[in-house]
Amino acid sequence: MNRIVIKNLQKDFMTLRRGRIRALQAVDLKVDPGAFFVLVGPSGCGKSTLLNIVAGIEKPTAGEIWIGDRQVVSVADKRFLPPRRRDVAMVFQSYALYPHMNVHRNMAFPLKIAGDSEEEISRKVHAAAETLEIKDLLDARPAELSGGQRQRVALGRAIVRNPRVLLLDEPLSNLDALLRTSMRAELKRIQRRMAVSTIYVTHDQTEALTLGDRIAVIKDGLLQQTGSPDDIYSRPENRFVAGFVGTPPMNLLDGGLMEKSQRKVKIDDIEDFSRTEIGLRPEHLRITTPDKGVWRAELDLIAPQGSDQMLYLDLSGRQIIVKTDASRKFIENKAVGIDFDPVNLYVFDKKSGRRIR
Amino acid sequence: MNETRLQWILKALAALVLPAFCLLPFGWMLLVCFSRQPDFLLPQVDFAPTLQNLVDVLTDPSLHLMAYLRNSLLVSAVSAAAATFFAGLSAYSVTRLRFPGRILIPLGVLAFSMFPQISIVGYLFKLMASLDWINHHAALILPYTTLGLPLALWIMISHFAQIPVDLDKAALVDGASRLQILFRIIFPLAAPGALSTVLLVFIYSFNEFLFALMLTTDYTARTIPVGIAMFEGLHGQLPWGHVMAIAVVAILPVLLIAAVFQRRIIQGLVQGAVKG
Repeated sequence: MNRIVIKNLQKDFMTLRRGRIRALQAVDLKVDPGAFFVLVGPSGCGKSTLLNIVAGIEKPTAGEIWIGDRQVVSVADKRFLPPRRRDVAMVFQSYALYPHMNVHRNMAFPLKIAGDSEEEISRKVHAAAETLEIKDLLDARPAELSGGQRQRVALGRAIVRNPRVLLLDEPLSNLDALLRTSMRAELKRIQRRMAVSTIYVTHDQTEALTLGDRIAVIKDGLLQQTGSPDDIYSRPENRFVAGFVGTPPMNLLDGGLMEKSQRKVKIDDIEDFSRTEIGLRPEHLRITTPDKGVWRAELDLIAPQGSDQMLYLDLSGRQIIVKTDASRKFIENKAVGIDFDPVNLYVFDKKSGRRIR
Repeated sequence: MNETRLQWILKALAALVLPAFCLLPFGWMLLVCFSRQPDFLLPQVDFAPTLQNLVDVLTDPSLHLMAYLRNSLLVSAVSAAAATFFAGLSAYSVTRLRFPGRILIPLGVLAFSMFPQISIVGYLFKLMASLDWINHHAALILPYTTLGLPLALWIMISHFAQIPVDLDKAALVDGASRLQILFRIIFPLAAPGALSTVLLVFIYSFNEFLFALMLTTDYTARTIPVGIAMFEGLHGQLPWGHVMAIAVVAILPVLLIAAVFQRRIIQGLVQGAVKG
């Protein structure tokens, strides 16, 4: 088990049209030994670049990375270990299976490159195939496999040599929804059993919350917040994290609305809401009779989701989503009241986006 | 006559006339080769086929047909393999490595390939003379490889570009070096393209006349096209039957290759262009 430490990492790309582009900026991260660490952010935020740098496929512009007690890259010390000397394994969104090799040879490839003996290779490949339940597929070519099976083979090729670090770049994104959910659970089980330090990149915040022991939210090359799934969900540090995590997303509204309420809501430490933005999670909002709520709004649309339903409200031109139990009956285009417990109110500084409360 | 019928007739004409036009010289060649009185300037009334001309050229050691054939095959094969190999290395770096101005490499190669070949003849001769390579296979292999490279490079680039870069990344992380990636992943996947490249350079080298004429002096390195051309000069009269018999023999290897690999050549050329 190896700790991964990333210090002050920066990556610039030079482009002809736009000049220097900063893909990563002063990224500091620690992944505990054996932890399942998830990097989540919108596409183009630099998360895959970060993963590539850890793998050694790309070189950083500044900063250093340690895997265990070994420094694998440091710009200041002019040190760069190529991927083969880092002992990391990686699974790609496209699976990147070698099309001209059968499953057995795909999984054997890293071992063969490392110079293992034939018996050793065969033993390890079969053991990994056993773990992933793909023993019947060893003779098949990648083209003959389904998406889920390819996914397993890609994972098998990664774990077959028992790497120090496992890197996963959106490995479930190409699977259909049902398969994705079941693979998610299996992935976590395998990771636990192998106890390998893992960095998992995804744009799907649900996936991040389900899988991660710890989560880092990244946007435009800047780390927004690092913490446990609960930290990220319940105590977002800024407006971006608050709005990014959660389905449906948090309702972010202008702070001025607090002055226009039907009923005064008492918030201890904030007097003036004019320079703030407020956030309320859909599940923290309650529907009341029109006159009793904090605000009065119109029920625009009802979207049932099995056990729950999403209510889209129109609050003087702004949309608010409320999540309620499906058993409650509402009628569209009727006035309703919105109420909430002040404890659940998030307040952000309008300018910096930082959470005040 | 309605329009579809007209279309059909035009298509049939195109399908018949064009091949006939292309194949006519070959037909004539065969005719003369198998003729008893092979004076192809006079119309022959009574055509009686014979294998005598073929037997003559194949068995007469003073004609050196087998030496020419061997030289041609050797020079063409080595040039084709070398051009494809170097084009592969270059195509890999152009399609995979990020360095500024990498597009200039294939463009520059393309530009150089447009110079008329005759323009380098003088210098090439001096070079080969000073290397003492005149009348050696190497004197032909070097220019054939060089001149085959532009075509080879462009075909290889179009094939390599179809191979997802994720495979390179995966192999890198799996511990492979760049050369291992090239030989164990990229080349096997681009095999149809590499094969069509080899064949095209082979055919080009096999047909080449100008450099072979200039850089060889006798049968130790002379290739078949020059051999045929020189044939007339050796004897007083023009033994057309023998000339055509040699031409038939010369065509055979290329014909054989084309017949065997025809599907793969087209596959390779088309695949690189449109699909992955």
